[in-house]
Amino acid sequence: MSDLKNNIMKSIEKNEVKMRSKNFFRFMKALVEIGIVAFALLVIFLINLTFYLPRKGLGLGANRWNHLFSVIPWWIVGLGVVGAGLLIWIIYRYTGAYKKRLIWVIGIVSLIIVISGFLLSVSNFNETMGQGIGRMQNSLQGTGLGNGSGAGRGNGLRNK
Amino acid sequence: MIQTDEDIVVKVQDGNKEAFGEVIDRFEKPLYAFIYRMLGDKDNCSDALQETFLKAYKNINSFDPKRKFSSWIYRIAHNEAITYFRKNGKNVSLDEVAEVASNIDNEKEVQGKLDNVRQKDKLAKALLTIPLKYREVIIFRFYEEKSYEEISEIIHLPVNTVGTYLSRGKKELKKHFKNIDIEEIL
Repeated sequence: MSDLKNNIMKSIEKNEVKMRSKNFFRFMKALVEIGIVAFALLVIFLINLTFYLPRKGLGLGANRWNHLFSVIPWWIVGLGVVGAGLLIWIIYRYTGAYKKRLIWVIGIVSLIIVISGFLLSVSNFNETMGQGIGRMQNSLQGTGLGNGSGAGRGNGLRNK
Repeated sequence: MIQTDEDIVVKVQDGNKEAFGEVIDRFEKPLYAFIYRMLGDKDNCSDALQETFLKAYKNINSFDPKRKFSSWIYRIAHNEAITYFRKNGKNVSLDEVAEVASNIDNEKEVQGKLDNVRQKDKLAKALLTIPLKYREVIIFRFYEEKSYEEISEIIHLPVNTVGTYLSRGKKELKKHFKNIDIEEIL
């Protein structure tokens, strides 16, 4: 028996090196999958806002382009780009995507994110969500759980 | 009946610790040769090899027996070799490499490939001068006789990129072997 084999087998016998369970790897795999989905949803939501928010503010200024740049929420764009980069990295690192050229992975993931974000922005999602948040704030004010700030404050008090 | 690598790994996964000894028996020499060619340093090579087997044992339950075990364990060895290279990349003893490279080649590799020891020594030295990414692909393709797909699976790069690295690596090596067909030596 070689020295190397001897050393390794001794470490194994003495339980100095322990085998990780199958459940550990199942859990890790599930975690990565959930992470990818959650990250994708977050990035799509941010991209949706970058389409939605400027559109809501358009038509107010004389110079449409200047106005467009002034109303684009750049921090959301930045966050979306960073998020998209991280998402691509996770996909490339933890799935079989390495078989494709990185440029293809970047292109396809970016395209899916941008299209999904745009479709979300033209749907009723943002209005529905805005109304939902407003209603939630009102009901929190009504039950006394709210912190007394925000748009729902006045309505909540009037409702009383 | 001959047991495949994957059959033995299933035994290890089922809790048969001794079966891992068989895994070591099968992969010790080829992995040593691979890591040695990558690093060109005996001490680091032994450490990296031991680390490779320990990590393989620890994570053996993440291996899917439907896939090829050799690719899986070579992937771990590749990661370890890169880690050691980054730590000690400049500590390369070329003479030692040439000497050991002559010893680790088995007969199959020698036959029809390497006609004289001088060229082989020169090749071992030349390999250590080219960038690691090209060196690795050349080692896998010409010494370990892996297919493009297997190399792609081990180093996690597209098959096309493997081909590109191979051709660039050969081009780099050719600089050391003017007027000699590099394919013949490899």
